[in-house]
Parts: sequence; structure tokens; C-alpha cells
Amino acid sequence: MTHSEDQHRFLRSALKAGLRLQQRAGNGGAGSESSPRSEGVAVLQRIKASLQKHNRRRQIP
Amino acid sequence: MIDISKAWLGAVPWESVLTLNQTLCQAQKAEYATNAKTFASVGTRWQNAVPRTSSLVETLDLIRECREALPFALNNGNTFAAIAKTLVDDWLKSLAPIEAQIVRTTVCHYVAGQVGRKELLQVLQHLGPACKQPAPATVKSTPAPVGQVQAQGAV
Repeated sequence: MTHSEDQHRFLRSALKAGLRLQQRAGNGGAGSESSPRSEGVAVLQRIKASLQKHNRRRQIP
Repeated sequence: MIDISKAWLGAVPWESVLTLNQTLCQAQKAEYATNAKTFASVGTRWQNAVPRTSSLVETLDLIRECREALPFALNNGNTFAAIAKTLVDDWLKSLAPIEAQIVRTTVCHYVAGQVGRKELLQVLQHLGPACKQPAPATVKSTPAPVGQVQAQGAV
């Protein structure tokens, strides 16, 4: 794959990702300029819960 | 993944960042505009970083700093978060969907300034070792010659 093809492939994927972020919650998603702090906290809490679940699963032989 | 040093922005020249922001503005039916105070310096900084080899966290730091400098009038968060998300996407295919989502969300929120460096490092250190290096997109599978063991992917 050439350098230019890499760039096009990346740009296409990034465009899709950007549009999805834009659509999410009417621009209240991760990428928006004025996302409330509480959303970040909620995401962290979800991540923490998921990691705890992951760790519990690992401990089971 | 967290320790891998490479030119992470090799496929993302500054022109791609501009195109991405322009498209996002277009999608919102908003006028594309730049911030005269920071646009040039962020562009130079980004372009200098394109060929440079660095770790993923250093690259994410750079993307976050560029987002904080607000080089565009609109969609700074969406633009830079989309780039960060796309950077790690290939590397997350070997993770379980929920774990991949955790990394993706954390990376996006780090760039958007909603998650701190400590949380980013914790998530990457916890889930990063499970990520395997993605195979190049153009590699075609060819049958292994008889008597030869086929590689089972990089670890």
C-alpha cells in the first residue's frame, strides 16, 4: 500500500468516526466543544465497572 | 500497544486534518473557519510530528494539545478525537468488543480533555498488552509450503 493510499484510508475512517461523534447525542459527545464534565465521569464509572468485571472473570480458574 | 514506538501520524498530514474539519463543518451546515491566533503554529507543530517516531501516549498528548489550542473555529473536539480513535482502531481488533470500546472511549475522551493522563495510562496498561499488532491490509494469505509452519500472527 502506498503512502497516499494509507492517507486516504485513514481519512475515510477518520471522517466516519468524526461524523459518528458529531451525531452522537446531538453533538454532546466526546468531541464537542462544550461537553459537560459529568459525562466524562459517567464514562469513567462505566470503564471502572467494566474493568472490575474483567478482573473478576480473570480470577476465576 | 502502549510501548510501541512508530510514526503514528505518518498517514495523517495536516491537510487531512483540515479536510476532516471542513467535512465536519459541512455536515453541520456551518461555515468552516480557522483561529488566526493558533492555526499556523498548530499546523507547523503537527506537520513536524508526522514523520517523527513516538509512543502512542506521546502522540495522544500532541493531539490533545493541538485540540486545546483550538486551531479551528468549530469541531476541534470532534476532529482531533476522530483522529485519535482512528489511530488505535486497527490495534483494537484483537480485543473483545467491550474492551475495545473502553480503549476507544478513553482515547477520545483524553483528547477531548474529559479524562486525565492517569486514567488513560491505567486503561492502556491494563488492556494494551492484549492488543496484537495488526496485519498489513494488503497482505494476501498464501498457503504455506508443505512442511513449513505458518506464523500465527505477531505477539
